[in-house]
Formats: sequence, structure tokens, C-alpha cells
Amino acid sequence: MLTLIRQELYKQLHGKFYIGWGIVTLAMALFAGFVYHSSKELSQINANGPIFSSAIIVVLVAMIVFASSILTTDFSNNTVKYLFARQFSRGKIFISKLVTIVVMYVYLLVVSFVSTLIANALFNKMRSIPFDVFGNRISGMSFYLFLMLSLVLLISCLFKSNAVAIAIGIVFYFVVSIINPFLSIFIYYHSWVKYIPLTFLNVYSQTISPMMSEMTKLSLNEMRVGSIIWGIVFLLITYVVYNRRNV
Amino acid sequence: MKTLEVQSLNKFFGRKQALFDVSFDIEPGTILGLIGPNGAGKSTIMKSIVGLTDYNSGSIKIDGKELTKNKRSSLENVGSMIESPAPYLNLTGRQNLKLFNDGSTTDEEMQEIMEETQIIEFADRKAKKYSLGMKQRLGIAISLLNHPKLLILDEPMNGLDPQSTHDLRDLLVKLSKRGISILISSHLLDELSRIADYYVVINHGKVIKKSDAKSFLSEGPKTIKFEVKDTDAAKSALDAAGFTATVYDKTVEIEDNNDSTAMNAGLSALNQAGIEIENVSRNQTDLEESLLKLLSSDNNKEAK
Ligand SMILES: Nc1ncnc2c1ncn2[C@@H]1O[C@H](COP(=O)(O)OP(=O)(O)O)[C@@H](O)[C@H]1O
Ligand SMILES: [Mg+2]
Repeated sequence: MLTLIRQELYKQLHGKFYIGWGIVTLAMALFAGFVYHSSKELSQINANGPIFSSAIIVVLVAMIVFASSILTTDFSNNTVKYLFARQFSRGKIFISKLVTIVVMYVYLLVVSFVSTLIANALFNKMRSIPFDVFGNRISGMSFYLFLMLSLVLLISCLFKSNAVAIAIGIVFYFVVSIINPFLSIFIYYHSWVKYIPLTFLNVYSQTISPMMSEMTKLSLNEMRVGSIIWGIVFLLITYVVYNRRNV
Repeated sequence: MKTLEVQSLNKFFGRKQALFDVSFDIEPGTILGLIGPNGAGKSTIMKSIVGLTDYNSGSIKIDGKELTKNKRSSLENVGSMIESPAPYLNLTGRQNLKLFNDGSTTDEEMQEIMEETQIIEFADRKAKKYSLGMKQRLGIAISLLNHPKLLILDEPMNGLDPQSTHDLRDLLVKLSKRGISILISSHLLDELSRIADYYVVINHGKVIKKSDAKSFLSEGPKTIKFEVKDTDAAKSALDAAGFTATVYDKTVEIEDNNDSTAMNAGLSALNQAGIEIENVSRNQTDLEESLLKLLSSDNNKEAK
């Protein structure tokens, strides 16, 4: 198991993903800092919260891209013939992939934090760090990503394509806010509708703005539990598909 | 104990059966050549062994231990390269080896593997810049990591130039002398003719022959070839004399027997018919030819 995780990380370390998306995250934080700095009114307030929130949206996109390809590239490059031909069970390989996703997420969170500190120093007059806001964003994002990435993994595995998974992942992100009005109508008429996965994709929004509960008709904790349950369901299906895949 | 035992392996792709009761085994330190035309099922057999694909029934044992999709510990001692080498292209050869090293191969052993497979000179270049032959050698190097007892190589000579093929043959013989068992496939018998200890010939997913190298050679049907101008006339003359003659290009062939009676009878039949004979040769069929005959007679059976 450790061997597998070490191998996955070795690949990442020799890839460009972590550097590229690290730079984009930093750029986003600097850009947000600069926007707040340049505006007369906005420069009066502590921009650290918004800066971190901007960075973390980049993390979201990066993680969708990352998760969508982590299972499929082995198939498209054929490297799966070495990966699957050894003594390791597919379950262990699958778990090592999940661990790698978590490691990448933690790394990008650290980058977001450091980027915020840099932007703070350059554009935000070294104001105080609102750790409660950061914690709130990280918690919301973590539940959201657990659900979203499970879905992305499943799609990538079913369609055998990372492009489809990235597209659907990103589209979901934007579409959720468009669909919400319709969703709330459905929920109004049929209250069970609130339990569909789509509702739980609002967990990040609801963490930031508790008002969302009027639409979802679920408390924040219910939203969290629901995200976890659906996420686990998607992961289990993904595992079954992955385990049966013939090479 | 046998290094590998494959028993009554059956495999379907949808409704199409790709393997029919395939059975064979490998003794320690021997090389088994899996021979068959393209599409015969060689890769499917190898994939079933290492768990890249499911099979419908049968059993596979490595070192006496039953192997299933979830009980894979005996694969620890198996190195494989199936269908085509598949290194990580954005890593160098050396990095690929480091990646696939489970920790039991020391740096010196790694160096030795690189030397034996002759990848040293380009080991620090990215694998995406490798030619097919270079990738093939890297693939073999990867399969040699972690001290395998069994090597499974699927058409490893594809893409190698004659010199590299020769070197790979030497390496495989050397490895088998060290006690490593090797399952190697090819659609060309010639590639394996000087190294395999045993052959398993498969066609349309069925084992049609199992034999050791020596008897494979001597069992081949022997023929007498008459080189003539008018092959059709020669064929009818020979057929009239009780032979079953076959026309190949400029020669007519009949089956030989162990003394010279067949040759003399054939010659006099041709003489009586007034057919000019340009050359006569009695030869033991070479391996490639006997394989082709074996396959075509199997295909005929299949057609009936
Ligand atoms: N994934 C697959 N789906 C359907 N049929 C397959 C698949 N892989 C192989 N086959 C079929 O199984 C047979 C054996 O293929 P294969 O083992 O690749 O042959 P070989 O390696 O001897 O050339 C062929 O008829 C091939 O078309
Ligand atoms: Mg093949």
C-alpha cells in the first residue's frame, strides 16, 4: 500500500500539475489582492477573506481536473498494464489514488494560504488573518469537493475519458447556480427532491451563506451528511467499475 | 513444483469465445514459447495470468498457489510486459525503473538490469523520445525488477533490430539459466527457435500442439520437392502414381518416407510422363514451415 502511494506521489512530483496549478492559485490570489487594492472603497476593508476565497476557487477547478484524469491516464497511456499486473489488488490501487487526491488537495490549500499571505503583504497592508473565515471556506470546500470529485471519478471511469469528466465537473459547478431556482420549485412541491445529489452540490454556498437553507430546506449539518453519503455511494460505484475494467 | 500451471482456461468476450480449455505449465528455469498467429489468443492468455482481464473458468497457479483477482500475492514474483511496453512517457528510463521498483531491487541490481537490457546509454532521456525498440528494452528492464521467478513477455521482439533480437535471446537464455522461468509469445516461430525449451502452439484460442523443442523439429512432416517447368502436369503424374502432390510456385511436393522408395517412385512417375526435372530435394521441413502446415490443417478441420 505504501509502495503504491509512494509511486503515485513520485509520478506527481515529476509531473507539471502541482507547479502549474500552484502558480495559477498564486496568480489568482495576487489578482484578487490587486483588485481590492485598486478600488477606493474596497481598499478600506480587510481583503484577506476574499483573496483566500478566490484562491480556493482555483483549487476547486484544479481538483476537478486532477481527479478526472487520475484514473483514466493509466488507461490511455497503457501504463495500467504495469499497474494492474502486479501483486496489488485493484482496491489498494484505488485507495492509493484517493490518498493522492487528498495529498494534492492539502498541498493546494497550503499554496492558497501562502498565496494569501503574499497578497496580504503586497496589497493588503498586512492586515490580520481571519482564520474563522478561512476555516469556514475550507470546511465548505472540503465537503463540496468530496461529493463533486466522487462524481467526477465515477464519470471519468464510466466514460473512460478525462475530457468528459472535466467538462461535466466544470459544467456542474456553473450549472448548479443556474438550476437552483428550478430545483427550489421542485423541492417546494415535492420535498423528497431535496435529497438528490444536485441539492448537496450547494454545500459550499450554504457554508458561506446560511440563507441557502431556505432553498435547500436542509440544515448545514444535513447538507454535510448528505454530501458524504452521496460521495460514498459514488465512490463505491466507481470502485466496482474500476475493479471490473478489463485491460 | 511447477512455476506456472494453467488449467482449462476458458474466456469469452461477450458471446465470442476467445480461449477454449487452454492448459499448459512451465517448469522452473525453462523457456516456454507460446506460438500462434495474430488473434490466436496469446495476449489474452497472458492477461488472464496477471489479472489484467477476467476469465470465465479454469485455474491458474503460480508456484502452486492459486491466483485470483483478489488473491494476488504470488504475482510478487512475476515480471511482465504484455502487448506493448507502456512506460510513463514523461519520466526517463531510469525514473521509470525507480518508480516500478517495489523496494527490493538495490541500486547495483538496477544498474545491472540497465546494462543487461542495454538501456544505459539512453536511461536519462525521457521515454517519450524512445523508439519502439528502446521502449521494448525498457519494458523488459521493468519486468526484471523485483526479482521475478517468472517472466511473461508478449512478443518482446517486435520492433527490435536483428542485433537487439540476438542480444535479447542471449539475455533470456542467461536468465533461464539463473532459474527464471519464461513465458514468451511470438507469431514467428523463428524468433524463439533457438531459445525455447518447449512450445505451445495455439490457434483460434485452442492449444493445437504441445511439444519440446527437439521433437517439434523431428516430428515435422518430411517432403520431397521436385522443381519442374510444368507443375500441373507433374502433379497429375504424381497423383496418378498414388501420391498426394501439392504445387508450390515452381515446385511440386510429395510426402517422404524413411527410405528412398518414395523418391524413386516419384522420379520414375515423372520420367514416364516425360516431365523435365530441374532439381530434386529431400528436406526436413523447417520449423516455420511445419508450423504453417500445422496451422493450415487445423484451419481446415475448423472449416469442416
Ligand atoms: N477486449 C476485447 N474485446 C473483444 N475481443 C477481444 C478483445 N481482446 C481480444 N479479443 C479477441 O480475442 C482474440 C484473441 O486476441 P489476442 O489474445 O489479442 O490474440 P494474440 O495476442 O494471439 O494476437 C481475437 O480474436 C481478438 O479479436
Ligand atoms: Mg497479442
